[in-house]
Amino acid sequence: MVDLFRGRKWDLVRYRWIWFGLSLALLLVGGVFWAVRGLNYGIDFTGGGLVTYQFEQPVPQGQQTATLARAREAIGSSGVDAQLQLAGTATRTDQLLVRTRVEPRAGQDSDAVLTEQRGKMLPSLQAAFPGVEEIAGEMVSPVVSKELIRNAVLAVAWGCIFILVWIRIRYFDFKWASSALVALVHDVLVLIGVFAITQKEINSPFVAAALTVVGYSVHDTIVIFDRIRENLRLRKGSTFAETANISLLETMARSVNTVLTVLLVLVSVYLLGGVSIRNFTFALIVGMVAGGYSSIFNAAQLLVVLKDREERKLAAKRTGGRPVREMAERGVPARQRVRMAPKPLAPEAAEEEAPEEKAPVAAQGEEPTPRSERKKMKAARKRKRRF
Amino acid sequence: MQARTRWWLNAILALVVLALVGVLEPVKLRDRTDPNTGKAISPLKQVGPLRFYKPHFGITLGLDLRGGSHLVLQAQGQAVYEFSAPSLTEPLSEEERTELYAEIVSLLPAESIGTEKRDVQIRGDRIMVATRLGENTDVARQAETIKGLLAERLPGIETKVAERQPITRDNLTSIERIIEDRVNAYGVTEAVIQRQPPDRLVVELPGVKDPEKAKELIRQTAVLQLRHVPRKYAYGERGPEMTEVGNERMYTFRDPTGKEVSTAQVIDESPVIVTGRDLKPTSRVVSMAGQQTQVTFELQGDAGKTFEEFTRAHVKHYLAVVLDGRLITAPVVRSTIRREGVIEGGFDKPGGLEEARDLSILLNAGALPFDLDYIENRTVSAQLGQDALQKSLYAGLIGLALVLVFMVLYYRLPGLLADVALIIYVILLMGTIKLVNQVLTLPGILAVILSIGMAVDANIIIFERLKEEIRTGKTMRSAVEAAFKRAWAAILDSNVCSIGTGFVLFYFGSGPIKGFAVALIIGVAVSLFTAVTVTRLFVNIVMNTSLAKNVALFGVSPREVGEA
Repeated sequence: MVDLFRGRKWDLVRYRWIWFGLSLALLLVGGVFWAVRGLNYGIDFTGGGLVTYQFEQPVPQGQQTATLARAREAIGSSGVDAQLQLAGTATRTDQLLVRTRVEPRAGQDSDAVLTEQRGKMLPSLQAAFPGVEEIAGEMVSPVVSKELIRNAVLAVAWGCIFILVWIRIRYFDFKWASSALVALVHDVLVLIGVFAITQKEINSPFVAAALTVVGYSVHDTIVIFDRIRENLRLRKGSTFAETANISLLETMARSVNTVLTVLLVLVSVYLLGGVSIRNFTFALIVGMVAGGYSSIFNAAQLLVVLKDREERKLAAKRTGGRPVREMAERGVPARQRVRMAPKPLAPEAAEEEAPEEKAPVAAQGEEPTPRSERKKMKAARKRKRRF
Repeated sequence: MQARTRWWLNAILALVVLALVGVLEPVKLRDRTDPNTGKAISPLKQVGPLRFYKPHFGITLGLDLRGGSHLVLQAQGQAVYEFSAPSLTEPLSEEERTELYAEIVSLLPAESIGTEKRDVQIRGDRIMVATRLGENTDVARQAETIKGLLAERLPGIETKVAERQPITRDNLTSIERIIEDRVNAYGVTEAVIQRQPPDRLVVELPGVKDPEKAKELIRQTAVLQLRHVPRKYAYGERGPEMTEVGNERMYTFRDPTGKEVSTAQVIDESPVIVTGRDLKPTSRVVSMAGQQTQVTFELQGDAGKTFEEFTRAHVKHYLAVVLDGRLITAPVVRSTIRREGVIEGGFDKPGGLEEARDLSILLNAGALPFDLDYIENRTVSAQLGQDALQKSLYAGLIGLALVLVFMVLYYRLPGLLADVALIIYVILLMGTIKLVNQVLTLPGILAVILSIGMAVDANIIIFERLKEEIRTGKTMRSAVEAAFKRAWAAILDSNVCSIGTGFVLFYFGSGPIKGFAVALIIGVAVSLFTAVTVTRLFVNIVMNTSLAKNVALFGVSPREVGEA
């Protein structure tokens, strides 16, 4: 196999606003669906009963609508108010999922309500579809579902906080940590958005998937950050943006391969595994892809935006901002502006790179990393945090 | 090969063998109980001759894989009221009392007090009412309502007590004990019962034939009775013979001819003297140096008088403490007992204190008429579980195979080494799951499969690095050295994040999700070992062979060397 990414000289950083735009577009579409159609919450979050019936024979492709209608009629005749859905694997549709409401009544808890409903539904279904069997029944009372919602939100929030703190400890400042965090939030939102678009069911496993994605997406981000950190030391002559771009290219093969191996196992589980974990796996697949994208195209790029601004501010400070502003007016790209930003110590070097520029410009290779950054790096080394 | 390398290799091999033995259980060292009689086998015999079994999958599977019911019960507290009724000055006869009781109950329809549960007791001139304590129950208002309803029958009625009795930690322990007994009595093996304070219990029933019946049985209100064992079955100084199996007492009753009589028959023929309702939930264990360990109990209301009369007339007779129809213990009456009594004897042996505590819990539980509601129920048929297990294992194997092939194709020789490490990983992961006794649920299997995909991540980081280092023209050995060293920071950081989110998930997740979290945490931890240490070892071994000279085997074409 060849190294697809070896020797490529793509400038990924330059198009960062396009990458952000792509993410935002997807989020926007997801958001619109979320707002208009809402999310398809499962019984874990709404409370209710879910009974799974197994047909003797798989339902042929063309007859699904008819079968569903017949099942609806059968259950309607039993007097139970329910929502129906066919389910199965990729190749075989042979299950019927029936969702009911199970608000407890006086003297009857939610489970008793479901038991009564099941007692009514099975005979009518069996009359319509001989050989049908009840293979699973679930009930979540409204009391529990409220807690599950609370816990789900708390879990995702705490997961994100943990990662924010850890990256803050291991990397220089909150710019790194917050870039990583934005990428994580992006992944979770994409996940929700895709589920809003596809109207797949959202249950407790969805939350587990979201957290796993958060944990895994940060894997990718950290590998890239780690390389940027290393390259900052090795390439003192470049702007942050250049360093980031090189680092991204160097880690590209790894980023892609890692997502690829995880997708290999996930897709095989999605296609071959049982019905009960299908949505879970789907969420993981979506999340892993989103996570892979966001590590390269959001987290690192956002860090560049933040660092770029920091560098520009620093340069502006040295000169009172004047030359930088002039350069901006002339259309010099930000990266060059930083490189060309004057430095009080080396006034002669100005003529070489920007002859028409009156203000002195720093020679390349001097003071590329902001001083504050270097101080922090030094401190970090002293504390022996590096392995 | 260096001694150090050889040592590591042996250690890893030993771990793999241990894990395989643990998971497949071809040898069993300890059978704690005899499968035929259910009795404990002496520890000496347990070691006995090693037996070999047909290997099977020794990891406990969750209910979603082998079928069964995962139930969550919520115990409902009580609102307790006491009213004084000045109109009840005369002591009531038995008939009058029954009549008054029925009248009071009919005066309190479920619709007007908002709950189905309304336990009424009449003691002297006091009326006690206990209702279900809902989330929004306003005790003061309910007391007014009840007083208003009863006022027409009992003029001049006054509220004396109106209080909330939420479920306490001790209540929950008592309820747990009772449910445990019921589940065992129903013959469900391997049921798991867990407390979820403050007021919940998780009950896992694997493969029950009739889950509806089991569910009904579990939630019944506990019935505790103190019965009088007829003289003909328990006489003389020694009374019935008692044997102990584990923590349980078994009694053998004989009729006067010396023939054995079944315990059930004895219980049937023994009249009830007082019930759990007459007990206050205040039983405790008194254990002091130089004295016999005692379990105290306290009777309330008229029951104290009844019991006093009974015990005065029946000294040296035997009582039967019966819970849900099962004989717990059969103490002998030593002297007259008024309100407060003690049960003693038999607790001053090893483990006796434990037994005393159990008895006290049961006595308290018998006095706990709390409602139990099912708030969660996830039942899966064995057929569906089996199907899910097979499908996910199959899918997992295919996924594993794909990853193995991918690694060899892309990373060549190191990929092959990583593959071996990955297989070791899967074995060790299973071994660790077995070691910590983690139940494998369907999400758990997904976590295992997912972690296979993630475990190679560390290897991918290292090998990508290795390629770069080789390209810089370093010697093979120093390239390997540098690759592992530089990759470590990233690997550690990323895995810490995965484990951290795993713990968060474990903390907030419920049921099967916890299984997912645990499997994921174990997976990441084990993969740190195999992907770094084991792979490193293999690479080191290869470095000593001529294979190391061929950079193409590492996925780098020779002309690239020194390029970067």
